[in-house]
Amino acid sequence: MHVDIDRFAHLHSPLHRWDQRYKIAGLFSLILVISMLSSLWALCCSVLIVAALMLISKIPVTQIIRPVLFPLLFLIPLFIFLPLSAGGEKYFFYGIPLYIDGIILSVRIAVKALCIIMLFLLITGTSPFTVSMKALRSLKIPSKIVDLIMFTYRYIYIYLDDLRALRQSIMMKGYRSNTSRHSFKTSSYLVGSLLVRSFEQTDRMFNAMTCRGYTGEVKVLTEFKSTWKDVIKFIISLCTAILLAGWELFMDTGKLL
Amino acid sequence: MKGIEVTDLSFSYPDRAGVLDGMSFTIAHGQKCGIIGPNGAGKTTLFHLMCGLLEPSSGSIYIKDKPVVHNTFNPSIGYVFQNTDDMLFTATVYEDISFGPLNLGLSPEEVQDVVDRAMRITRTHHLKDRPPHHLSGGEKRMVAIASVIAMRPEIIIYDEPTSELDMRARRNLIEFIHNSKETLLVASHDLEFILETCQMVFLINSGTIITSGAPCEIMKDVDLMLENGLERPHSLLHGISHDH
Repeated sequence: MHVDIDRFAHLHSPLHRWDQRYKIAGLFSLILVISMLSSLWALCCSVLIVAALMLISKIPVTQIIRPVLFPLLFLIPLFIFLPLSAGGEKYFFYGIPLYIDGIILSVRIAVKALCIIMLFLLITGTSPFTVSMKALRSLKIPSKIVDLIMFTYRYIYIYLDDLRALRQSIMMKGYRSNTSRHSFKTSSYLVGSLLVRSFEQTDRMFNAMTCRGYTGEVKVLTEFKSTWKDVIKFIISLCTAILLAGWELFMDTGKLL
Repeated sequence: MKGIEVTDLSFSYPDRAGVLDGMSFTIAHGQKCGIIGPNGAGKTTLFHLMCGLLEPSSGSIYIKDKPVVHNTFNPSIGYVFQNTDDMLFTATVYEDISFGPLNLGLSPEEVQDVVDRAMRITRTHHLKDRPPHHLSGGEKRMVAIASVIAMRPEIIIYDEPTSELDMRARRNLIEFIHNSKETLLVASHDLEFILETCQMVFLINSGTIITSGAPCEIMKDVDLMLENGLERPHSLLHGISHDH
């Protein structure tokens, strides 16, 4: 069973009704500003804004916990080492020295990452994938990048199915995953086989595209129609981003603790 | 009127010589032809040469009296690949079907028209907003065909069209091919399918044409079939007629 990237795209909310081009531009401006914030107050405000947007979007939070938390796993080493190594006042927790600056930095990174991931989910989750791709093309994102995203989306499922089939076939031949040399060797054969298959498929796919007149750019029909409501939503998100940036620049509350 | 004319066609891969060895044949416009032969006989290579994806070592191919030029897109020939996943690469069925017409430089209205027509003919209208990875084998096959016929080619090549179809989808495809007006070239190991859809068949082996003629006549020759790694279709054992 495949995870459907468009599973929340057909809900009804002001965010779903927002023209995807304006939505990408508006929410991306928020992402950009949030990524540059250092003030904890401004970051707290960002969390509230993102939470409000999540509520408006009607996307069930319980169902997006995994995709939101998964990227945060990659930051765990940072959350462990920063409090132990960054400067500032030192506190002892069960005899372990923890630096307050490190803790604050970890919190900042976690909050920023969380907000950015949520905003990204709002951009991609409140509109069908194909509309997002068309919107990116309309926003003059280089077509090579958009094509790569589209091909990745399309073929990841095929390769996942291939991987599943290969795994099942080696399991049927008695393979059990463990830490033995044989197990590592088999796993590397599996990955190698998948790489070769994907390479061959790329070749066949290119031939199929050439037969249908492909000359280096995937052309699509676009049918965006924006209204004044889309523009107003865009202006609101842009103003919010500017306010957050202004807070950061002119109300120096960075030293919260 | 000639649809396809192949003269003294030879082709070798760098690691495999004589894949096609002096092959010559002519297919009339509007004819439905089958290509049969064992694995490695050169069927797919022949199709790739016809579409200009490969360059022949020697010989020539003319489609509607125009030479096939290597690496040059020829909109009069459509190719339905064996693996439909190679053909369906965009995010929705509609985008996939409109890919070819857009490359032909048609206006958005014309694209809409030809895509609608292709979906109507192949009965894939209800799939238009679906991503290709959510389709069954039969649906993928019909969408792949729609993506080719939307370009309105005069010649369509089918490479193993029944390979991922269930019985019902296979029957739908047979009916579809019966109703199609284009010149067709079908390569398949499903000999019953060839018997039902083609008026003429070429038996190829080791890069050469062994014989050609009416499908029933060729396929009922047990010795000929066995010599070329094939078997007489079951229906011919029981004398079931295959009228076109």
